[in-house]
Amino acid sequence: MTATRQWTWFHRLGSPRWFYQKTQRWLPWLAVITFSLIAVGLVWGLAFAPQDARQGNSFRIIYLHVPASILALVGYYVMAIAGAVGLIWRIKLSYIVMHAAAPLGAALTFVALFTGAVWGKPTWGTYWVWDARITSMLILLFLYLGVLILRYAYNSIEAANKTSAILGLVGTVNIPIIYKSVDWWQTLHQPATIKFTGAPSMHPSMFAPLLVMIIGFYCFYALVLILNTRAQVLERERKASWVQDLVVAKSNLARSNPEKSNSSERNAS
Amino acid sequence: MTSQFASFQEFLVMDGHGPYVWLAIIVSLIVMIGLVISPLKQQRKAIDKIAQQMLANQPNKENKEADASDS
Repeated sequence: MTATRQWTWFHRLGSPRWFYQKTQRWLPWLAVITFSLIAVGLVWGLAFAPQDARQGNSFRIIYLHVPASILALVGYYVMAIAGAVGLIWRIKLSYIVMHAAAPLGAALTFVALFTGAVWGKPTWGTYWVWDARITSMLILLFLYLGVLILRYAYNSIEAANKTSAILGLVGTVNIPIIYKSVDWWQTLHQPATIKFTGAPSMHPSMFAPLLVMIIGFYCFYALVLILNTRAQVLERERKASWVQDLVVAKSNLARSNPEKSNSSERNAS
Repeated sequence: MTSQFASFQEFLVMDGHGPYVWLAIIVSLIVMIGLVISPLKQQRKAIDKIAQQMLANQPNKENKEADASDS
């Protein structure tokens, strides 16, 4: 009895309907928090943080580059774990989350690569170099794109789900390589600014806005992941009665078709 | 806390690094805004599509019945 009760939350969480209705209430708060954190962090980092002694003002790109890179990596684990949960427990929602995480992760990896390239020009003198960190990030982008495209490569959604999940899991090998690449291969990319162990190699006045941006990006990730998942839940559950009720309430069904309501009234009388 | 830049002009130029910094920020923000807008559009589209399908399935029958009763 207790065992089954303990697991009910897990299965309720796996219900697309429960997810859709629950997140409805979270979204406005999450959106406000995300926008505030990123706005504060960006203005703080761009205008108020002191400039770097060696890199000058170009270092300010860090306030987007590092948060985007962190979430590109974290997002890959989110996608892989969602796929694994789908494979093991066959929960429909977890596959939807996996597919929702793929374009988001790809976009964040692109932002990390793009801001890195633009930062590289004034700092290293070149936009691109086949350094270990950059190359492994490019592989990450291709893994995300692979999961994104595989979805459309199959006629059956079950086969697409399984193959995407397996590709996602295999690709997790790349994540520790990206993380450790700056230590294993001493190439152009600088070592990590923030470490799990020990203090960050950055002055608090520079680090504080970076921390605000990182928290803001976590919120942004959650926000977009929820929005993507909700949109896909609607598409996949279009035959469910709760979706149809919601569509009637949200769309202009009643208004756009006054003929219908008139005629039914006439029929009733 | 005071700004690192004496004027807005200096803030834009950033000692010559301005173009790099602003390009990185503008492209990132465009991508991020796109990430928020695209699922909202997708959801709107899905709702319209489901509504059309529902109209095509059910009310047609009612309309036909209504037409029949009118004539």
